Amino acid sequence: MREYTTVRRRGFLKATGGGAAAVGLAGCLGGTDDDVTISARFMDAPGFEEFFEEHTQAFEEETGVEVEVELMGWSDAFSQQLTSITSQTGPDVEEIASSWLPQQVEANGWMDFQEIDNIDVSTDTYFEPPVDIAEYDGMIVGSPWYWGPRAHIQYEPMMEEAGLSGSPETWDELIEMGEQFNEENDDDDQYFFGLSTLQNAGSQFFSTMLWQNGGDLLSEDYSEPLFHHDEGVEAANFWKDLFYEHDVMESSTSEWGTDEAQSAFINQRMASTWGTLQFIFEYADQDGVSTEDFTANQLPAGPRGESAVFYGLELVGIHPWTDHPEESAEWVNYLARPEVNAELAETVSMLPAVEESFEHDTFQNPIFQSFRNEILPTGRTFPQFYGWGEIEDVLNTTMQQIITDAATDNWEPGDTEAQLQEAADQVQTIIDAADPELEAE
Amino acid sequence: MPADEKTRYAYKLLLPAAVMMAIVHFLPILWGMIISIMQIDATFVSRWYSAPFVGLENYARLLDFDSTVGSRFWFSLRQTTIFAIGTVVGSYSLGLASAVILDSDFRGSNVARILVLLPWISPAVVVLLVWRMMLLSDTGVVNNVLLSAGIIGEPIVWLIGANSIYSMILVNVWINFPWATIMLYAALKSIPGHLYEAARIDGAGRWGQFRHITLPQLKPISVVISLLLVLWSFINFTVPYVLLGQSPTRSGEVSMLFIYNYAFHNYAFGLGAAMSVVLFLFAMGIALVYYKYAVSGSFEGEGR
Repeated sequence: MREYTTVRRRGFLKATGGGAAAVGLAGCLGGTDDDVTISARFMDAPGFEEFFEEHTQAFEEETGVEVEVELMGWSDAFSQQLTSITSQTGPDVEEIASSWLPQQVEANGWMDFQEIDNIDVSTDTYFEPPVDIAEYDGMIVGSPWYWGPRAHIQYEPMMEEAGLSGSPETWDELIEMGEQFNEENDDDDQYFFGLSTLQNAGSQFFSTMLWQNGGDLLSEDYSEPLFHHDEGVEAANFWKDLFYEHDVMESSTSEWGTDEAQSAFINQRMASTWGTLQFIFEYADQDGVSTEDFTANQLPAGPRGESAVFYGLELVGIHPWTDHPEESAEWVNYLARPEVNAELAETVSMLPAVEESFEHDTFQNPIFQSFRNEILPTGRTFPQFYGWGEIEDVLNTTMQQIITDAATDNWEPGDTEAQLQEAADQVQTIIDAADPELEAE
Repeated sequence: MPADEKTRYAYKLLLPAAVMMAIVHFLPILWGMIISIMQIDATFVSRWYSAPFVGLENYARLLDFDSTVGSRFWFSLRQTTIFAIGTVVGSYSLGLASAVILDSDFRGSNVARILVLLPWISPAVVVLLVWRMMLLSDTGVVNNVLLSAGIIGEPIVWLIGANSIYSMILVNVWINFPWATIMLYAALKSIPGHLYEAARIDGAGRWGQFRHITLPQLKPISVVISLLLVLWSFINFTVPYVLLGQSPTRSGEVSMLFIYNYAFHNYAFGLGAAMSVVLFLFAMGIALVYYKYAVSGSFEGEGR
């Protein structure tokens, strides 16, 4: 199969070279190849239909290439992409979720952009961290598109009512503000802070707190887990104690996924959360609420470390089975134009991956500037490790268990250490079982 | 028409259905068994035909209780067994009670017979999402009612932690009991009236009639109901997936959900197929034992 792949890629290189010349010539003559249509598939989001209608039309007018866009729900995306990759059929261009990237690359799901002449994925254009994620095992498999780091978001009218100002810079300050909020606020159903626990929140928020406390998930060479050390135990206990010890957060957060957390924030059950821009823009759609009512700041630091936050990234890649690689590359390049990338990021309420996009008027809003200047520099993401999916699952389950035990009064001293140790043992077996040849460099 | 010709004609009539059964049922089972001894992972998923055969290696990983996948799989099988037993006991008991009530003539019994079917004929996903909302600990109506009635002092967390398996059983019972009701109701109607008449002459009370006539007469249909409910519970994916979401806490992680999540999220299709085969054999083993000791005995003497 590797031979088969190489042959295809060599063929593709030739096609790219010839294609680039053809496109250049056609450009001089004012047209391109006859009636080329490429297909592209993206995760659905509000406003995407209009966005793609406008831009596929503009792209076709410019290049003569028609793009058929298919939108799919997030819940179906994983299995739809899996089916396409398994059968090596499907759209030419497609969105990539960074957390699925290692397995999809190993399954020969994406082309290496280094073999395409007219795609440039460099740090001159993009922010550096997304470019790092786009690279896996020596290949560049996608063009960074948008990303969603979380900020400590506060709804200021609720904060003012409780006589609070500023944003917590440390874990201790977060607890102090939460306790002060409770003293000033008579409503038992309102809390200072809230986080979801279900879905992938377990791994994402635990990692965030672990990094904030100076810890790390795995060793640099991905040979052993590190999250069960003191930094990790303190991080997990900090999360648990937000409701178990300090009443800063309600214990029913243990049942919350992202939607429930967003809904609780919109319904003013909590004054602050760690959320993406979507939390603000969903909220700001409500009557009488504007984006000016919110502040977005760095997440607090733990006692042993500095502010840090997890972010996920969306990329755009080209599948190796495409018959129109050069046209697909043109479409990817079009989507990476600063003005298009800015419009896209605004549509999905995320941050543009192209640095110049931030110069557009939309992003002059203080909220966006906070994200760019304060939060982006603290962003980190999961290791690009082949067996990460399984490890992430272990972390999700472990943190859910700790939080659930605490929420149901079944937690006892020493449980956190024991659960994290058990998780670390499981992760070690996953690491040991991973084929060394498949590990990321 | 001679007997042989009749037989051939019967086989011809059966052929389309048999072919369809082979394609829809037997080929996937066979295919699952084959890939369970292959190393179909991310590297080979798009070229499964060149994936190496690994013999029983995938099964050996499952039998290694110290491994993450082994320990979690067997734990999920234990939870599946609890789920199946709970479903059978709950659905059968509730179904029998409803069938007996429906069998007695009362005003509105026709409407009641239709209403009792509602949980079974309603779209499962809608029903499950409504149950999910009702079972939320803070805003769910179940806790609110129990708190208002003074039955509980603190909200119960239903959907996570140790209670999630019981929530699944509760909801699955609610969905399945109407089917048990209808089956048992039909069987009740077929019990000859003269048996009750003879029992009454012998001085049997209502409990005596129920114990010595109704229950024995219902035994054949009861074993079929139990068997089917066990098998359906073992392969039930919708209830745990929709009620608890994609990442349930361990208590709610039944085998179907675990296999799906593990195999698909990790591109571990060979190992996932091995887990499915084990689950299949486990369910078939239970069915065979049950059939041997319960079903066959229940139908002995029928038609004499």
